[in-house]
Amino acid sequence: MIKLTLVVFLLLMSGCVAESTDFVGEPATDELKSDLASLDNFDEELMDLDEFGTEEFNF
Amino acid sequence: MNKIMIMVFVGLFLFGSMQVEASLNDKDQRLMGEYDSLRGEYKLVKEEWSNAKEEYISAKKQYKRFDKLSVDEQEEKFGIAKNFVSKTLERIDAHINILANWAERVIQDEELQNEVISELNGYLLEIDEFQLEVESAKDIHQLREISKDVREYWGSTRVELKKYVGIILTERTNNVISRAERLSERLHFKIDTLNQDNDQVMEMQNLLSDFDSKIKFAKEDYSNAKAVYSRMDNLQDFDKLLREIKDYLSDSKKYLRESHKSLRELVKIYRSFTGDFPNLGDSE
Repeated sequence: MIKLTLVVFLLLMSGCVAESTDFVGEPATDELKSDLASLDNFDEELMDLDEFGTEEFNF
Repeated sequence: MNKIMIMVFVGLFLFGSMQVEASLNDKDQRLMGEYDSLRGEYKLVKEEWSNAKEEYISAKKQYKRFDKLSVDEQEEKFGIAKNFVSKTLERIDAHINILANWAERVIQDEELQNEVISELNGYLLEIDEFQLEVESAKDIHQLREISKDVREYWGSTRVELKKYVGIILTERTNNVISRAERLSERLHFKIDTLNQDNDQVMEMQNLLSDFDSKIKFAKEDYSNAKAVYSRMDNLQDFDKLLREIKDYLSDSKKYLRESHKSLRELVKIYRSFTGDFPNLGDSE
């Protein structure tokens, strides 16, 4: 169990390290990276339209 | 030791957040505040809608014909159905408010922004009217008539809203492109003042040229996406056209990500060459 936790932790850390190399410390450059990352799931937030319908209105 | 590490990480996180916060202007801060509040409201409304739906479905299973129920049972089931219709309208309303907030935040073209917000406000007014009708419904027959209208209304409105989703997605990508273009301008200015015969400066010029061409490609895809939303007139094509927009924007994002790689390398070399970051912020 401890080994498994350690492996998961190391995997997570390696992901964080890989991600952090995208940032160089210059604020405007890093803001562009953050802007780009925020575009990734943006459409899902706006597309919550088809999930709910009014088909159940059958009183 | 662990506590100290946690405090250091939390401190660094908060410091980073403060820096981003400080770079936002007053209007952006107001809109961000409104957005956070709208998101919170939407989450709550969605949960209430979900509960109202569950309650309605469960009530519906308990009878086959409404008119066979006792007066008390009819009153109870009528209240449950009414609440479900009302919560559905609230959810639509909350969703459109979020779209309007995004439109105000990301659409830079004032005329387009006003047009989109005005049309979204038009939907909100219609929903308010439906809500009043639901509130004043006295019996199940009236509620059935109103629900039929709401169903038809939402059937076409949820498709129409995809046009505004397309516009917001496209214009938000354009904002990232504009930010990249501003960085490019500042970098040209800074690098052009350096000794052009130096190898590192030549490498920076090459990376800057690569950065510019990736931004150009991203902008071409943005223009293509914009052309698609401009021809969203026929409801039947909206799903197909929104997919086209998303494909163009996906390519645009790909080029922007590549452009950032060049920019990142460039900034590293600049720092190694001059001993300091180029400082590309708005204050420069």
